[in-house]
Amino acid sequence: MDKLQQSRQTQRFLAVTILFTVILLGIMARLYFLQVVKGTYYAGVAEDNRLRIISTDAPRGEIRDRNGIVLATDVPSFDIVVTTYDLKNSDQELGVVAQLTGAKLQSLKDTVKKAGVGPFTPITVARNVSKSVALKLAEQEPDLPGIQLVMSTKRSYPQGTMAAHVLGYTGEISDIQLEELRADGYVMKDTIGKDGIELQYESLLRGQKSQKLIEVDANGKAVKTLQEKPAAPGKSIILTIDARLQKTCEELLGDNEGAAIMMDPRNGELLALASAPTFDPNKFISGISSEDWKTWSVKGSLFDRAIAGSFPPASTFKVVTGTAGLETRTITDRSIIYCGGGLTVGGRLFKCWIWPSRHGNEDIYKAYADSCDSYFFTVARLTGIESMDTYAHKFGIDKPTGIDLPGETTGFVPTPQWKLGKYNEPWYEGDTMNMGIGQGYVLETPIRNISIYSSIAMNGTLWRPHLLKASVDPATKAETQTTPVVQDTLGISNATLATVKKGLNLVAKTGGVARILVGDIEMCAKTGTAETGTPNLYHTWLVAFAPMDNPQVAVLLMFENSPYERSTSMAPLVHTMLQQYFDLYGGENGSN
Amino acid sequence: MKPHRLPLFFLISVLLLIGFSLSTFYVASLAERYTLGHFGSFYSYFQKTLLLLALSLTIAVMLQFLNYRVFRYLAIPAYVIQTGLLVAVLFIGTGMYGSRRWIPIVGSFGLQPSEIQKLVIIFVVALILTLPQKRLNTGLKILLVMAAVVPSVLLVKKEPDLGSASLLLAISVVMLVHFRLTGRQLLVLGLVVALAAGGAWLSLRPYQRTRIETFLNPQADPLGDGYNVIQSIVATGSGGMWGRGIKGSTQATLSFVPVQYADFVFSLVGELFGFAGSALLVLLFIMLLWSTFLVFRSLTDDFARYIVVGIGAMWFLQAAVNMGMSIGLSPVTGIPLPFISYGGSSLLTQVVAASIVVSVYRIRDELRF
Repeated sequence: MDKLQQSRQTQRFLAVTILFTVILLGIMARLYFLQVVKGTYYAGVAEDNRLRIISTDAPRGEIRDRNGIVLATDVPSFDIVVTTYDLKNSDQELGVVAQLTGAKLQSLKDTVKKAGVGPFTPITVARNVSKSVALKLAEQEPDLPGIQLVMSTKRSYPQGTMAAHVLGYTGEISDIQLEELRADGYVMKDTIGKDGIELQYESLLRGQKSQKLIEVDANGKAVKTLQEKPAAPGKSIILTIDARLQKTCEELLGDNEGAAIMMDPRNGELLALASAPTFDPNKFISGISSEDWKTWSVKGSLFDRAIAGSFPPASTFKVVTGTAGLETRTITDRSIIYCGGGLTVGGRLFKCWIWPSRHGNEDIYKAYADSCDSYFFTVARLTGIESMDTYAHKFGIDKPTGIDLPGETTGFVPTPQWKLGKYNEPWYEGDTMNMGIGQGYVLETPIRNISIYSSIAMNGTLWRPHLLKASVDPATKAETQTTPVVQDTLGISNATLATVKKGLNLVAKTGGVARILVGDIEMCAKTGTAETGTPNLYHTWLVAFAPMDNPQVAVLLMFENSPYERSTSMAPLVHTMLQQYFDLYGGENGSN
Repeated sequence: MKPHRLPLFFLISVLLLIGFSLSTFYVASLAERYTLGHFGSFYSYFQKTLLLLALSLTIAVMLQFLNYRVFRYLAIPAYVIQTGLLVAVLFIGTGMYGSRRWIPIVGSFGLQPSEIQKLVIIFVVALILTLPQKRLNTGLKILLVMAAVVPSVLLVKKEPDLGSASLLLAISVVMLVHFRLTGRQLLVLGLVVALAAGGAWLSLRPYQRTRIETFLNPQADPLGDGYNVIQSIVATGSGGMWGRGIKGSTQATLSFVPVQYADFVFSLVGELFGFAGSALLVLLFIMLLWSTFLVFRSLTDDFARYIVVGIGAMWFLQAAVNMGMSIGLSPVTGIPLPFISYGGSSLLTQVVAASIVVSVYRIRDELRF
């Protein structure tokens, strides 16, 4: 650039520098006004800078069943909060709190120290204190600056253990969660959903805390409220669960280990989802005794078998084997296979359950009705492991169903490569045969199993199993309904599905292995008895849907380490479930 | 050749500012000890600042052994790396309230790419504006500047850090003002900037709009951003003429004012040292500005001149916006006060910038043939 240009540029920078200087002098003028002219005023404001923002919890949304029965709600309780700025002698005042609540003084001090808020923000140090503690504290409160008893709420599950695994429970936010969620406005000691629906729909259930800008006197007591933002309660949730059916399912499970599920195959709504043994979520709120904890740990009470347990599906898997055989045209519905009580392959005898007796000549319909193992051994062997795997994948056995609960696991579909990698052994024909009757390596979760039968009922359409029926806005009472979602379509021909259904229909009829008669309703069912490795101890299954041609409900009952030696013995229990459903919701042509 | 002459006036301004920062944090930590009975966070900021200062000054001294003209060649690679970091920070960055501004390095130390990007943009714009006029005419240069600056602005805005994004844009505009533009061309540039500002308003996030609206009327949101500004004004004003000193400063030590170690550091100065201290700080910035102008006037190399314009603009804009925010004259942004606010990336950037100004001054005579 030439000299002339540069001198013009210098002039411009000079102008800019002068402009900037003027602006900075303007800032100085403002400072003079604030600090010198109004300095005394602001010093006074600072002296009694006693503006505090106080926030209180908002009620959490209720959880109700589809008929409005309350499953989870908030009930009043008392919390103790500390405002550190107002403490005169923290050891003494916190000492009284420690003495009354039975907490250790040091742990109270730690809570206050870890809170990470300013000295004017009240810190909750104890939640849900008992009435007697609250009364004693209320008496002493005037002598305890900085300590306050505040009305709060706690979670309550009025139906006790009912649907415990579905509901989950709430608890105090953990340090790790707090780190992640601070930005969403969570603070220490906040209540947050820990499992089940409480966790899944935390964002719906959680309310917006109230905020108050208050002025306090020299003792830290509020003198006036300058501004207030009222609390907004969380949304209520209406579940697809019908408490009456849920209760029946849980009673049928009794003290055993197992799962019971009832589902509407037309939209995926879960009418009942039970896992046993169960627990009382109220104990998480009031504090769990070590005795309870021990019992729950030993029995695996917190484990949701319905969605997180995977078990050998046993004969319930035969719908997959039959479908694979029919779809690959390995068999037709007219193929006849002879059952001599078992068959010998590779020098080993594979026994049908009827061994040492025999079924004789079987077509696929009779094979389903008898649950003949010889038939499905043969179909699996002829179809081959590759096609068996293909159809196991199609039915989604190794995929989650997408149910709206945390912690869902998947089943397992074995492949020759997997076996080679895991056991360094080749895949034998016998492995394919075992898989054909749902034994060996294949595993399914109960929720997947009922989903398979639901999709068969709906001619190949699987509606995603779900529990959220609607959420309700607390202010407007407006309901937001869940739109059912198609999770999967099987891509299996209607002819094949019709054949399988016809076979399953025979199972439930007189002459089939699981006779379940509810009025004159045609239904489909399948049993399964899985070996556990322990003699005379089985996992037993019974899955059914009805009515056959116009399905309204699918049910599943499953016992881990079953009290029964044969799954067929569960027929009366499943009958109870179905009978109650049709009593409540009407028969084939009945109204909802 | 007189290569070892130093710009004394300029150096003194910078050193006084750094000294001011250290004194502020040290006095604040004494006030904190007086009120709370023990050293608290201000003391740890003081210690960390000492550490970061040692590191920054070492780098600054090392830079003196480098001819600044190598930045002509380093500008493009630095721009590419920095743009990569600005993209990376969107994925792996950390920050408060859901923003992603820092790339974590060790412990609580992190790199804030948007700070360093200010220097890189200054170099890139200076490079573009000084390309041979034969190869690139005025209009094309302006377009190229826009093409280089706008992606960075958008990336920083996405973090989201609206303050730093606007700053990048503003620095480039001030540099363009010193380009060979006629008065009429400047007017057109002004119009384009005004239009862009209008468009930007529409693309702001709700909280960003709230901040600007809060600035226009702090009482509108006394529970949120307005609360911060009101508390900052109270703290500043309470300092009076001579400050409340170690025994009287309660607003800072009791955390009334948010992020007083960084964004709202000016209110800390106001409370501790009063009008005497605050005005002195403003005077130090005026001194820095004029000493930068004096360095600029003595330069003949165009590349060097643009760099000094850019750095001067950066200092002034940051100082004015930050101090203005503390006393309710400009919107709440996360822009630090140069040399004063606590923050590693910021301190490093400012000290390196000062070192470069010294460097271009020292070897300016070599250019005279």
